Amino acid sequence: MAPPVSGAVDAGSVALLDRATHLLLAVTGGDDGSWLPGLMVGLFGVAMAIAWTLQRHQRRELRDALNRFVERHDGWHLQAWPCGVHANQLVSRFEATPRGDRRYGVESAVGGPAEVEISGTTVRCQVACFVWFHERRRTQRSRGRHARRTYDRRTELVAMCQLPVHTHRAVSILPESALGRVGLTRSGQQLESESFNRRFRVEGRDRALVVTLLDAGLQELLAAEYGARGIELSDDLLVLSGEPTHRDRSLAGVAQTYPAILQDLTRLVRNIPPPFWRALGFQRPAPDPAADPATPPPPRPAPPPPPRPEDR
Amino acid sequence: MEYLLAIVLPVLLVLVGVVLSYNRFVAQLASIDATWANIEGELQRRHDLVPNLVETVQGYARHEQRVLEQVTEARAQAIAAVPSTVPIEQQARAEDALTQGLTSLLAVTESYPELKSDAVFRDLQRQLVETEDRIAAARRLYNLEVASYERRRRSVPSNVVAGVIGFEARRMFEIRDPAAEHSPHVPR
Repeated sequence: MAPPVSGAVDAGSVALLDRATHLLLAVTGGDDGSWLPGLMVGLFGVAMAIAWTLQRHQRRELRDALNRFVERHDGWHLQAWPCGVHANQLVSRFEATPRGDRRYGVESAVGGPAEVEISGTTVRCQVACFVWFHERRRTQRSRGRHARRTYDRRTELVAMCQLPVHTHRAVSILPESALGRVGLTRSGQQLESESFNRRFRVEGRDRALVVTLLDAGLQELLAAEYGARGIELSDDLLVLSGEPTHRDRSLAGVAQTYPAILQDLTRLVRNIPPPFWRALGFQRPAPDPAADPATPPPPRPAPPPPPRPEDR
Repeated sequence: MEYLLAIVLPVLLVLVGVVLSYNRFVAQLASIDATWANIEGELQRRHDLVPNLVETVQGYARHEQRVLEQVTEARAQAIAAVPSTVPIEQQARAEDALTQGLTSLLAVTESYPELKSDAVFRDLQRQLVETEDRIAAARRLYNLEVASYERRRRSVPSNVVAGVIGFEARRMFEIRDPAAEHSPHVPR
C-alpha cells in the first residue's frame, strides 16, 4: 500500500470549506444593512472550519507517521497501554508522568518487543514510546472580579522498557535545577564526577544500588549525551524522558522523535554496568541447544500410550 | 546596650556556626565508619569463600598446588591485615594480592571443563563475583564519604573548626576491582 501523500488536504475537508464559503456569501448577501453581525458569524465559522480542518489533517498525518514507524519494527503496534501498563498505574509513579490538576493520560503510544543488551546478553523486552499529557491549573485574578481558571496542557516524551528484573527500589536520575547546577541547592546523592553532579540530581533509597548503577562509564555517558533527560527505574520499568537531539524528518509530529528516543533507550540499557544487573539477580537465559550443532538434540517426548480398550 | 548587642550577636552567630560545623563533621565520620564496616563485612565474606573455592578446585586440579598455595597464603595475609591497627594501604595491598591469587586460580580452572561445569564450583564463583560487586559498591560509597569529608576539612571556614577540634585526615580505600576480573566471560 502506497503511503498517503504528506501535506495533501482530503476531499471531505475541501467540500466542508466550500460549504462554509457558500454559507458566508448567503449570510452577507442581504441589502437591509444588517449584514455586519452575519459577516462576523460567517468569518468566525470559516476560521473554525479552517482550524478544524488543519487539526484533522495533523491528526491524520501523525497517525500515518505512527503507522509507518510501527511497520519498521516486527511485532510493534499502536498501543493504549504502553508495555501493558495502564495510565492509572503510571501516573505519579515517575517524574515524567505527573498527575497534573485535571486530566492526564497517554497518547501516540507505540510499542512492542525489542532486543536490548543486558550484561552482554541480548534479551527481548517490551518497549514503548509515548507522550504523557497532563493539565496544570492556572488562575488569573483581575481587580475585584472572580478568579479566572484555565488549564495548560503539558506533554512529556517518554520511552519505557519493561526489564526482565525487578529493581524493587526506585532510582531516579533527573536534570539538576539551575541553582543546583551552580552548586547552591545541590541535593540527592553526589558521585565522583563533578560534571555529572552538576547536571543530574540522583535519588535512590538504596545508595549501594545507585552507586552500582552509576559507574564511571555511565556517569560519563549521561553527562555527555543525556544532559537534559530524565532516567527513572521503578519495579521492572525503566523510563527515559525528555527530547532527543535527533529527529527523523521522514516522519511527522511526535513520531519524528521516536526512532531517536528508542535508540537512546537501548543504548542506555546496553551501558548499564553488569554488576547492577547481578545485584538485581539477572540470570542469563540458558543457551539454546538447537543453536549449537555440537549439542545433541534433547530426547523426543515418548509417544502417547495407545488407548485402552475401555476408552474406545 | 546596642554596643553589647553588636558584640554578642556576631559571637553567637560564630558559635552556632561552629556547633553546626562540628556536628556535621561528627555525622560524616559516623557515616565513614558505617561504610567502612560494610566493606569489612564484605571482605570477611570473601575471605570465607576462598577455602571452599580452593577445596573444590583441588578436587579436580591436584597438579595446581602452587596456585592453590598462593591463594591460601594471600588469604592468610588479607585476614592478618583486617585489624584496625593495620594501615589502610597495607590492607588494600593484601586484598590486591588475594585478588591476584584468585584471578590465577580462576584462570587455571579454564583448563578443566569438568570443574567449570561442576555445580558447586559455579555456585561458589557466582557468590564470589556477587561479593566482589558488593565490595566495589561499598568501597565507592566509602571513598565518596571520605572525599566529601576531606573537601569540608580543607575548605574555608570549616577547616578552622577541623583544625581547632582536631579532625584527622581519612584515607581512601583503593584496590583493584576484583569483580571485573572474576566475572564470567560472556561469549559473543
